[in-house]
Amino acid sequence: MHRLFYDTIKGGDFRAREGNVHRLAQVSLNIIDQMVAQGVPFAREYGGLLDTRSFGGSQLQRTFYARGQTGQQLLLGAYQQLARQIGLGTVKLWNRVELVDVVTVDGHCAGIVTRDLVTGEVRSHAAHATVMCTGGYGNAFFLSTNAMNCNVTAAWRAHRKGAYFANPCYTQIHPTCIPQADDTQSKLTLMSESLRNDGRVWVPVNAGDERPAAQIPEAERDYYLERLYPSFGNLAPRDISSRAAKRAVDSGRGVGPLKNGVNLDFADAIGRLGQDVVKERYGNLFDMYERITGENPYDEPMRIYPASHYTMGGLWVDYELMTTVPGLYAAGEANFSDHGANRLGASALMQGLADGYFVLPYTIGNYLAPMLNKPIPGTDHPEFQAAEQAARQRFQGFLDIRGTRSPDYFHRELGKIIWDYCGMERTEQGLQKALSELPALYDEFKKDLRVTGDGAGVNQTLEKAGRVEDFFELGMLMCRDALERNESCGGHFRAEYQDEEGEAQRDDEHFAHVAAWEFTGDPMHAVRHKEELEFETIHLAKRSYK
Amino acid sequence: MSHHLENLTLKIWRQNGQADAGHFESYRIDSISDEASFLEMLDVLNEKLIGEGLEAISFDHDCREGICGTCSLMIDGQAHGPQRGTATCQLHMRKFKSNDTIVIEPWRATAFPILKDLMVDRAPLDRIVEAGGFITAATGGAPDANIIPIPKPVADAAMDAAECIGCGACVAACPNGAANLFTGRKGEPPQPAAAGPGRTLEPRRGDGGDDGRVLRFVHQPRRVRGSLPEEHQPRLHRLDAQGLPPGQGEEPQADQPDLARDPRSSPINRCGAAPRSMRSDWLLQRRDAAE
Ligand SMILES: Cc1cc2nc3c(=O)[nH]c(=O)nc-3n(C[C@H](O)[C@H](O)[C@H](O)COP(=O)(O)OP(=O)(O)OC[C@H]3O[C@@H](n4cnc5c(N)ncnc54)[C@H](O)[C@@H]3O)c2cc1C
Ligand code: SF4
Ligand code: FES
Repeated sequence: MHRLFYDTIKGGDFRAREGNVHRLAQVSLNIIDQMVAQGVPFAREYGGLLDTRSFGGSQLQRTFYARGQTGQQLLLGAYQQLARQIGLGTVKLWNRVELVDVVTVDGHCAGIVTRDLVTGEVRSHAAHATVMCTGGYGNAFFLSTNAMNCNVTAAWRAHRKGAYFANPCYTQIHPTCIPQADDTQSKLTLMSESLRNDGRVWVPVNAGDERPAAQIPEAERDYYLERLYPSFGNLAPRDISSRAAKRAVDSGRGVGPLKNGVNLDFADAIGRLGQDVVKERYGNLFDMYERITGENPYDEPMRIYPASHYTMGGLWVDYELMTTVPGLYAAGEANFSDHGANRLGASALMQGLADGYFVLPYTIGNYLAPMLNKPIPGTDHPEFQAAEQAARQRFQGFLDIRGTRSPDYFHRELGKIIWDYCGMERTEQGLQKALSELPALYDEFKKDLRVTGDGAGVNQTLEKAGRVEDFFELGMLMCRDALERNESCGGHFRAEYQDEEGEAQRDDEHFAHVAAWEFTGDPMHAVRHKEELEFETIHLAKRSYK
Repeated sequence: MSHHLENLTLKIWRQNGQADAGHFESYRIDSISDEASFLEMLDVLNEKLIGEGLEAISFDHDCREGICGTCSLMIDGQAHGPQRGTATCQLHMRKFKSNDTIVIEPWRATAFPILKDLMVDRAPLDRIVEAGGFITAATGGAPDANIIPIPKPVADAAMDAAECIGCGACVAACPNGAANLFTGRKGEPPQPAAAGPGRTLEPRRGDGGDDGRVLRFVHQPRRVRGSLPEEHQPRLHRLDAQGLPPGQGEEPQADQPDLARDPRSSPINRCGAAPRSMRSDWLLQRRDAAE
């Protein structure tokens, strides 16, 4: 347990709250028991006990897995438990309904306003407490490994109603994704990180080497992760592997038709273990790769390149997972709590499950207890009415612009700015540029957006318009946060702050804190608050994976 | 390097909500990269439609990597299209050629009302799960996960069953619109040998784990069928020699059970690994026939 605690703090580049991480490590032990009891089919050894393997950023073999679909299986396990409660009548599920605003009364969260995605109906829901488990904002980059419906709207609407947004510039770029193939690409596909257990990453030593991988002799291959990080090799943490891949490609040594990837080669593993073992471990991933690229990874190396994958930043929460708005909680990827500036493999699910199974059930009662038998504001309260009215006007407003460009067009352009200047490597100059381009593009959005159809039924173009607008505001805050953080740490790499070997240089004296932003009406003028990070048991050290 | 497909004709089902009769609309589209996914091709079409001031085509999708089960298209009469073991979102345009005509329809099953265009309501699958597709161990103090060793072959079989992504293709492909394949997967206890208290489908009254579970499963879609007005009950139709539904632009024909014998409509399109209980020779033969 201590090892997990330490690794998570170190993996987060000493930018996470120590107490939260300790609690996470403590409760993590129960998660697997809980999920197994509820039927998640984790892999077993021949002896019948649970099997484990190692995963990005860890030298220990301690990750439990379910074929290549651990996340999906955990989700299904949790979903089936939710379904059980729905069947029992303790939970009501609203399918195809989207949160479009958060309502506060006297500074407390009183509930939410939603829009029905099938009928367009806007309505309110009043509650004693509200919990947001609405995921991360990785789609701000447009291209990411996240699902298409991942968006920041819920968290952003909460932010606009007073919840501080913490560390928006901490985004994780995952090293093993399939490189972009063309301009119409809508999302990137992650090849599970587990592939790095057996695959070896390399590029040709010489820039512009056009030969197929098989014809490049050993001596002319650069296994750069093994060379630079001998003790972790191909398992070096995500941020480090991603930047190394970017450098390889930037130096003209990229592979593939667009020269925008690096090789992930299984030839050694197939030689050592045999094709059958490799197939058993990764068969479904190899099939997926072949479906997407049309290439067979048993015969030639996979091509991979980093892509936006996870966002460590999110709504600021206290130890009880409450945001700065009393009565409003955030759990899972939507909050900022446990991963600091970089997240280790497998720990997103661990944190999400810990928040939901083992933290919130115990902390939310502290807020609810004094409210027993006290009335709460109903949906007829003027604040609800005003929020409903504003939401209706907002969506009608998108329809009324009648410009010439679709929401997707703006999302793509916006994503490109954020990726270029606030992606894997950031500079002061670049961020300044982004901060002048984003508001200009946002103005254009407000004048030239075109949403066809109407607001009275299914209209995916209209849904998208609202989400893109929120990404605009978030994008500005991401760049401002990146600009203010004059250090490099974890997923936030400022080119100005690196050592002679090109590794991230933290500034513990000035930046060992969480930046929590307060909304003031315009993200360009949000106010930055600090939560100092105190480390009682762990010693701040340089994060080295050499 | 990527190539481009030219002169594709798309015949797409458009239906403005449940009250509308719906019809096929033809679109021509050019210059589609063969690296693009099928859904990206639809994105391009939608951008074009918005550019012309027309409404975009509604279709469901989310993960776009074959794991969430949200995408759901009948492509040339086949659930999820021509590639075996591949969800719609994972299908790529390199499986098609220039000048192809592609027919795109929503899942057509009585249990799945059409919400708009290619988007259907699959909540009945949720109701099947609510009726008993879960383990009855309550959240809280769980025993050590290694206390009952589970033989690897059993764990592997459980994993096969758990791979279902809940897409509903089996319902769409079944001539009777039945959810047997899905239900079989949810009914099979995920870890059958983990026979600790409350871990299997042991009778357990009151919380959904009692012995009426399977009956309740099967009643879910039926309930929906009964509640749909006759004229909105989607129908199956036979494809003609060119692989096109008969009478483009008209209401599809009434039930054509022949489709069941058309190997191209194999319900095991998405899931090569049906749970053991479902792996009858009949299914295997059909799978071979579909090859
Ligand atoms: C491809 C991929 C692979 C991954 N693999 C791993 C892994 O192996 N191990 C690991 O630990 N982590 C992994 N992660 C990360 C992990 O899956 C996520 O961090 C985790 O699922 C987040 O869970 P969540 O419940 O917080 O949010 P999500 O799972 O993102 O759920 C958020 C939900 O909120 C809904 N929502 C959003 N906005 C609104 C709104 N306004 N109104 C209503 N609903 C809304 C969304 O539709 C969604 O259903 C992976 C992520 C990706 C993308
Ligand atoms: S059984 Fe197969 S076809 Fe049916 S819902 Fe599950 S994955 Fe889809
Ligand atoms: S969009 Fe998720 S499976 Fe196709």
